[in-house]
Amino acid sequence: MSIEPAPDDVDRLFARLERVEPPPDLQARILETIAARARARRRIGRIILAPALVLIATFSFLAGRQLSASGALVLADAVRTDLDLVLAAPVDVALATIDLIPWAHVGAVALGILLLAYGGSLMLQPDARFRALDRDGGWP
Amino acid sequence: MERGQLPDQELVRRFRDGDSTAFEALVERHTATIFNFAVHLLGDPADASDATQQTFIQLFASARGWRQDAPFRAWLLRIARNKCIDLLRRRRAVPMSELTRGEEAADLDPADADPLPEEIYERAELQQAIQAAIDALPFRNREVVLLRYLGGLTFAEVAESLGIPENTAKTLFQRAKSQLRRELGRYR
Repeated sequence: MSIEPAPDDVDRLFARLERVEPPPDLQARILETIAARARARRRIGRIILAPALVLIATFSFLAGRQLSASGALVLADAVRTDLDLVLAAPVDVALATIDLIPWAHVGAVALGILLLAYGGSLMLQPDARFRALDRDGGWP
Repeated sequence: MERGQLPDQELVRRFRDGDSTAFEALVERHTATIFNFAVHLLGDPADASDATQQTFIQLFASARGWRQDAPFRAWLLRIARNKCIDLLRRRRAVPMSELTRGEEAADLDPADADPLPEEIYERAELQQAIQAAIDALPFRNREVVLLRYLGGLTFAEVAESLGIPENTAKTLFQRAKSQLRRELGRYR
């Protein structure tokens, strides 16, 4: 722990430095700005969540349907039941997998998940209900 | 215990737990200190108001990032300092000293209860001289002086706030004091 030195002439001079009063409405402006930003963030979060959920649901369904139609599920089943297939022709299996995956749909689902996470994080921002702003319906 | 009497750590903990009024108490407690630090660093009350506002906006957004073992006031003043530097960068072309001269300096002299005219003049002169001496300091030294005198920080806290070793903070402070002593010789 450091020891504070005894005050000297400059310390005493600075003790006479007068405090500047902040503008009387500064605290109110700070709280109002923060409350407005928090509200805006939550609103944006709500706006983002709905399309994100629709995006995930729609493209998950479409991706599943395409996987089923393209024979990807058959390939997955073959790999699951016969691992030797992967060991015998790993490159072919990888290429077939890459070929069969509906990347556009997977990308859309990934985008939906990212939006969901972002919107959720905005929704979970701390609430800004300030007593001073509630009083008399807000600051003057 | 009244909310106003709770230590900063407890208020931050309550705010993190979702109590907005604890944040309100932090704003109430620290606005004057942050504003004074900013107004003496920037030399402009309007910019100081902006910096103070930005400081609390950042506090609201990042209070979770505060380490409980770090001194809160030093951490808050560190945010304020960064906001002041952001503002200074935006108006880099304008010398600091020019901003505090003239009518701006009058804002630094709040009224007292019925002082004599000579007292008013002397006090105003002293305030202007101190502000001019602060402005004349190199920026890093000015930060140390303001954190120490206006922020009321210990050297360890000044060091924490500026991200420098404690001995460096002490050295900068002593160097600043020598310059202040020269500049303010006639007022001592």
